[in-house]
Amino acid sequence: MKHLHKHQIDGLLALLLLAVFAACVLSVLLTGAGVYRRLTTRDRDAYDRRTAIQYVAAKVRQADRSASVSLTQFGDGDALVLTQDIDGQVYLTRIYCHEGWLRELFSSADGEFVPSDGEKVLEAGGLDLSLEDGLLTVAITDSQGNKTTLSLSLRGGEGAVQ
Amino acid sequence: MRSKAPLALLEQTIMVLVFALAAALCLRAFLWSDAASARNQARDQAVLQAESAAEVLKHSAGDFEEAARTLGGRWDGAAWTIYYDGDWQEASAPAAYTLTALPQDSGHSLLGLARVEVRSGEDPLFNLTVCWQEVEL
Repeated sequence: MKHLHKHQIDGLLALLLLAVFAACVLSVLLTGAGVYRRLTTRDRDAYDRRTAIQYVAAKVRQADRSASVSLTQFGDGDALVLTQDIDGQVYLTRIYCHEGWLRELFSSADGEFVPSDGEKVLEAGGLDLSLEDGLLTVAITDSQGNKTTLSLSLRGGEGAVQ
Repeated sequence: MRSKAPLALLEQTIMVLVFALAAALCLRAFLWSDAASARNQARDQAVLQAESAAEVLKHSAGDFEEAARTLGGRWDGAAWTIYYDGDWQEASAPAAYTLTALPQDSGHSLLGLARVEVRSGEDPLFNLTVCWQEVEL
């Protein structure tokens, strides 16, 4: 009888240990999953914010010549207009936000286009631009509502403003 | 016949100990990766803020007071400082992040030079050197 009782306690202890082991496995898995989710979300947000603002900065730097950078209203609000002359023909690159996307539209200056004609570049909630005395301020709101701002001193100076 | 239960218990105990060791290493790796990711995100923002400060300084041709009026922060005659909270919104000291621009001697009379540094507490996140052409009127 005593031997049977001890045997039962041993079995119970083994079962308890197994339960503790299972609980530990589950908690480590859940912690890992939580950390991984937080990491991917944070990295994706950082990528979206950095890429969108650096994309606009790179486009401005490429086109930063005298009388080539200006602002207008197109799409859902502000639009950046980069003007270039190719073989005597004037072409415009418009960068703007429309229907939740940062878009780029490259066209001849005299063509008539609508905002949805632009190529989708990145998801974005909004684009706010200001150009004052050769200082361009770009503010991009991402799809999560985070706003990222960058100031750019136009190399063409005041002449870059049309 | 002897019971095999103590042996099974011993086996499970060793298993739990080995697992505890592995779990401790995993948790440490999780925490380290989380901290590294947060630091990278902060550095991304630090690069943008430093870039903006450098561009504004160039635009104002080294007029730190005008730069502070344009971008924010305060010029005390020796350094231009902007404080940011955890969401990179301008705040007052003590703050999560600090941008400091210090004028430096370029060694050339018509070349302005400054060092822009962004810190998280005492920990440097990013720094760059900016030059501009001084205009003589």
